Amino acid sequence: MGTRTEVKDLRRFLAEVKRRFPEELVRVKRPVDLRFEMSAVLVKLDRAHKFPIVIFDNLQAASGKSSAFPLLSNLFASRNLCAMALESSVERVGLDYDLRTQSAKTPLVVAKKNAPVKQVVKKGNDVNLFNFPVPLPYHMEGGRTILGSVVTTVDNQAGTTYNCAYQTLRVLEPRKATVGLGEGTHNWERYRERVEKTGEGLPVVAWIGHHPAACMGALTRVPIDVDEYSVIGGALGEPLRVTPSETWGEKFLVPADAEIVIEGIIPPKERGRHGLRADYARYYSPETLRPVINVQAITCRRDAIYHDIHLGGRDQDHLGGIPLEGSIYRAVKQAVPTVKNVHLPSSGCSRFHAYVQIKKTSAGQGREAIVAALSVDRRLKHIVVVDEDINIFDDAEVLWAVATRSRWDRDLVVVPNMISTTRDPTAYASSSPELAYHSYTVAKGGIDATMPAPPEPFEIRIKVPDDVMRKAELKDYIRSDALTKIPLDA
Amino acid sequence: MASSMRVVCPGCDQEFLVSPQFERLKIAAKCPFCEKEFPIEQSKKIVRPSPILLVK
Repeated sequence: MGTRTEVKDLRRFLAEVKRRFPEELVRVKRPVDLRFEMSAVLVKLDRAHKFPIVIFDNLQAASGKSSAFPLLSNLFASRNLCAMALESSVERVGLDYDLRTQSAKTPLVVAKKNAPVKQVVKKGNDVNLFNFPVPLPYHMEGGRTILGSVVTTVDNQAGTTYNCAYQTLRVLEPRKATVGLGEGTHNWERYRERVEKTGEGLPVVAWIGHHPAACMGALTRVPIDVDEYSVIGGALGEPLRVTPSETWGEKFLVPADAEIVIEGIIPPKERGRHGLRADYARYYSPETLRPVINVQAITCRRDAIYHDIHLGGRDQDHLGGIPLEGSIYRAVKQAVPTVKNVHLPSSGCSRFHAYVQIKKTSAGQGREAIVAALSVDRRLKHIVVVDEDINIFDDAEVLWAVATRSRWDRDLVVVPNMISTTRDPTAYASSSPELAYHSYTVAKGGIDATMPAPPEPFEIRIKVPDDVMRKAELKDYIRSDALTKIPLDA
Repeated sequence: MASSMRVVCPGCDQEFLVSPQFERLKIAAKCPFCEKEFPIEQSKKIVRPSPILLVK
């Protein structure tokens, strides 16, 4: 797995994890069935509250043969490692992500010979999507879905603007897949009318496996005319290296340091079955019709790592949630300048709940923060605003604040009929015959679980004096082997 | 759930989810368990969600 160490890519990140946090990277060398067994391992790790990066070395591909590719999952499952990727801390990683992505860096074009992703080039009948170790993770899934694919489009008409987003690919045939492009996504809204009018297909690239900062950079929330390759450079802290594609050359540049690049064309009208599959809300998403991608070429590293996302676990939570935390923080800061931090907990799939921590200086700020946060993303549904003494990374402490600092008659904000997502099982559909993304609404709201602003009095929270807490180390009172043996409570 | 309806496969009796879009466009359901494709009206059971309001 050697690579040029100066370039930020997946290899360099894994090397850094191995050096700094070796206990957070594990390899499974025994044979593992891609059909459910791999997911069982990841779900059991989740339940044990352990979130290492896992590399499965011995998997059976969908073609029935042993996969030539190892599979890496849980890249984002540890918040600590996400923080390392963005040179931040566990507490501030969402806010630092936001700051980094606002410092865009123009991509650096490199020759194909200097691009690791060009070490293997397959075209025409040599292309076979079934050669990838695509898992069948949950019991009702009827097909193989590539989850770690950053689908990218380019607009060459007004400058050169790349749009990127994680979108699923359901493998239909060796050279054909459906792509989870939905209404409202930049990749699709920008081009749908144009490709349907001209009858020309839409060039599209799906890249898999990169430094986690680059992957999270693909999830930034910027206007449609902002070049997202430059934003990814901001997230990385250095320009994204790109290289000409096999199909369109310099007109469509692809990430040079990705593990795998899939190049394809979306025909204007064709739709295919985007099969029943798991989604981030931990339910199944029904089969839908989605655009088809006809694959033209696949390029990859000689020893490419297939990156998969563990749906239904912390992996997908952090990937979607951390980029959103910074956006919420920025929006709330305009309404409540003393906002301290934002966390999207796994208990809300890192999409539905947001915990907003503020230093309260005047009455009404809790409600202001709720309203400001709700407008940031259609998936956000419940906002809990707490004081700065509450640890927003601890669900129990946030709920304690709700229990002791909120009142249902005065501190609740409910906004009916806001735009929702199809993936909220409680959303109600409009009477529109077309059940598009925009057709779903739901009531949203928040709880102001803050204390009254000074100088209003409130109860005083119990605490052991800080200096005593600092000095008291459990190992000085209980033998460490005995301490280790005490079971974790539920 | 507003975005899904439940059907039962006439081939293997397994229950699974179908988008209402498929019924509206008269697209066959495809069973994820046995891969049988069948018109939705041939399902052994169909449970449709309320299109306007989820009752709970």
